[in-house]
Amino acid sequence: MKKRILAALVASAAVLSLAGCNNGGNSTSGNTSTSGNTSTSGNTSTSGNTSTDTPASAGDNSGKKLRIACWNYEFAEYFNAFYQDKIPAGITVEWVQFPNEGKNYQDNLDRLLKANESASGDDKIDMFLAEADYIKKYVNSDFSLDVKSVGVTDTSNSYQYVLDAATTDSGNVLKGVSFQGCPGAVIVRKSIAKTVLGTDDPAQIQSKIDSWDKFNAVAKDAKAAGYLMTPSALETYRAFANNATTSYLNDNKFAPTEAFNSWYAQAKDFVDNGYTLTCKLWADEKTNEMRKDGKAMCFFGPSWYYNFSMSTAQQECPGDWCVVQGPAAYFWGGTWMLAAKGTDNTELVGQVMNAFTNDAEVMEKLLLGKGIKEFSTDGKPTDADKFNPAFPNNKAIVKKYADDASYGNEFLGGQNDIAMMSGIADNIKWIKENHTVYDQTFNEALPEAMLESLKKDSGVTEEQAWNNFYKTLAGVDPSITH
Amino acid sequence: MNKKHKSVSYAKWGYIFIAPFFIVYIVFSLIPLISTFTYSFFEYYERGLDVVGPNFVGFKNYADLFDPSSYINNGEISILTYAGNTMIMWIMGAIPQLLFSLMLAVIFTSARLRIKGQRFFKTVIYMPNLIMAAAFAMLFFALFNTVGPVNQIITSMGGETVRFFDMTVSARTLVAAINFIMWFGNTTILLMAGIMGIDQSLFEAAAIDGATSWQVFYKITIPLLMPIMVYVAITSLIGGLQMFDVPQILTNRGEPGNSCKTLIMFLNDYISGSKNYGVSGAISVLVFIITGVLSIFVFKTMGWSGKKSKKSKKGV
Repeated sequence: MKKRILAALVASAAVLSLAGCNNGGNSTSGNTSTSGNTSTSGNTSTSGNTSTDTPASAGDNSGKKLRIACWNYEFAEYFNAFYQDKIPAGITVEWVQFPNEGKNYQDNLDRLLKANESASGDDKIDMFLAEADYIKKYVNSDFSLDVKSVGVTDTSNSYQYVLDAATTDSGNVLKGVSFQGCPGAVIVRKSIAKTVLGTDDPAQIQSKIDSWDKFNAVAKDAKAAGYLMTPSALETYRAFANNATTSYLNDNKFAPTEAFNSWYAQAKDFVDNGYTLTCKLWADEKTNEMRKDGKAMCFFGPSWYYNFSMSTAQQECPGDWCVVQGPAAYFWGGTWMLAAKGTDNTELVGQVMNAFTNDAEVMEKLLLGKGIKEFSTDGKPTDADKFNPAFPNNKAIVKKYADDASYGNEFLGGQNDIAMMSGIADNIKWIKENHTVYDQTFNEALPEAMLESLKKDSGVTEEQAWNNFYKTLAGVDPSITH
Repeated sequence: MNKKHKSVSYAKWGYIFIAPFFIVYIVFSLIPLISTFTYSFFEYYERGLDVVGPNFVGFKNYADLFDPSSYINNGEISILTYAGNTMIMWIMGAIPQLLFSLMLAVIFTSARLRIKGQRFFKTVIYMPNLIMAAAFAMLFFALFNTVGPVNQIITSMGGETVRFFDMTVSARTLVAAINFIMWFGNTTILLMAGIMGIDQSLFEAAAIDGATSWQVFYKITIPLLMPIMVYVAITSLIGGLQMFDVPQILTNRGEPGNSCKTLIMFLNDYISGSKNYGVSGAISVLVFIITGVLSIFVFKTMGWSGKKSKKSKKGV
């Protein structure tokens, strides 16, 4: 008898485990963190136990969970700090996170979105975040909703490029909004600028690098003084690529743009002459240049870069930096909020979107970041205190601080970066025709593949580098010709 | 009647006990295997959020893989290049590993040396295998990158920064070194088991006849260890052909150029890029065939056949 029970157990265990896996198509397998008082602690995986056999009905669990798909916890931190207490009772917020690397986030998001309408209430994605490099794909799909349909009607305070990026190619429907703007600046090391350019005044520095010709000429001076112009040959890529006048893809045929060729020519010149390094954007070698004894003068990045990603510099040499517009207006990154088709929390999604675009208090907290303490009334200052400021996508708030002489960013030695960034944000253009659904490949894999040909020891020729990129492209979409 | 019933009952239990294995095997191995073969004859991938196919295209995926002018290849036959990369990195790791493990196994099992603390050494040499390959690769990346400790030592001694990951030779060597460190312990333990399985009286007889250590090694240990050696070589070969995580992480998807890109990394480009089940199915089938062919080659070159093993087993 015992044996029989045991055998039955073993067999049923095997069958059950299989049944569980067969449902895998719709189950969540990322890190989902249910938001509590702190943002990232307590990642609970809900893998496996989400059965989707029963069709979605407006049953018990409908609308009880606000599930937001994201690739990191940047927005989650802001959300928890500024919006947590506005969530209606009985609704829990769940962050479904997949790392951005490669196409990982997109692949997982696609899988969830495709199953979203038939998923049960607890498994529906209500809102998802998308980055500039692939927002086009989701905006022009049926998986995102018109923001008007969830109750977002006022976008007058938003920067134009932020709206253009989230507007459909045909029909002019706005599908997403963003809480941040990502105008890109040149982050200059003042002590090095003083030696190379003879000044550490942002306006003076800007006048010496306001065109690519001047920028390239300064690179020579920097080298002569024993410094690097940029920490990586990839550093200037987006400043060129964002200002392309043509698309990489025409009738599904790939060709390098003029902007790309200009970048490559500059990168080659810089590497050959020792003005820069051949490391990647996120390499330790580049981080090393942010140290106290770093040699690189110009870093390229938006406000999230110097507030969020330059922690080495923030620890070792705060105050020794300033931001200037540089040779070209560009943007890098950005987080758009899109309502997922099939959401059972339409109203709440709309409220969150409205709060993070139009709510003056939230936008002001976002801008001040570390100054959150002053606003905190509900005893949550310690949580909020660690957040970094962001450049809010709200012209009214930006104007308020741009005009405020007393405002300054500590890391930038008290410079009013908001004033500087707002000037860039007005000049950024999102030209729909020049963006493709494969922007992530063109902005990451392409320059990295070509960087190989610039490395002295790699033995990769320019032609081989192109060939290697075409092979990557064949994997990304077999139908693209070149 | 009663007797008959009993015997039937036993058989039934037998089937029930082996059933979980077969169910798991069919669902997780056999069905995917068959669908891999099937998909390799289809055009089936995703474009953005749209799915293309599945459309039956016959042998087109295979033809594309071997046609230098196809969209996959751009002038060369990529799959051969990647197969070459894989074999080079496998050989660079496997041959030293086999020799080193053999040496260790002989030393540890030697009746003359009687090494003390064998358990300790066995544990220590096996330990690297417990670390995840990905973690190992990250560790090596941290150690050998341009600002890592190895380069700090080199520069502090007056040398110039060595860009290990920019050079084909050093990048491949590091991949091979990780595989070597991870797997030599495992191989050593297998070979030790093999040597300990050899009848001690043969060694004693040889000692009485005045055989030298080398003679014992060549005339007794090696021939009688052959079946285990073949097993080790073939499992290592299969593992080597499936090399993926170490080079993927260590060399950032096969850099410099594509010189560290292996067959499975090639396959991964198509799966993660566009969920291209057609082309990646075809690559998988080819990897399957290559594995089969090379396994037969290893069987032949190591002079092993079913008969011989039977004999040697009897001898043991």
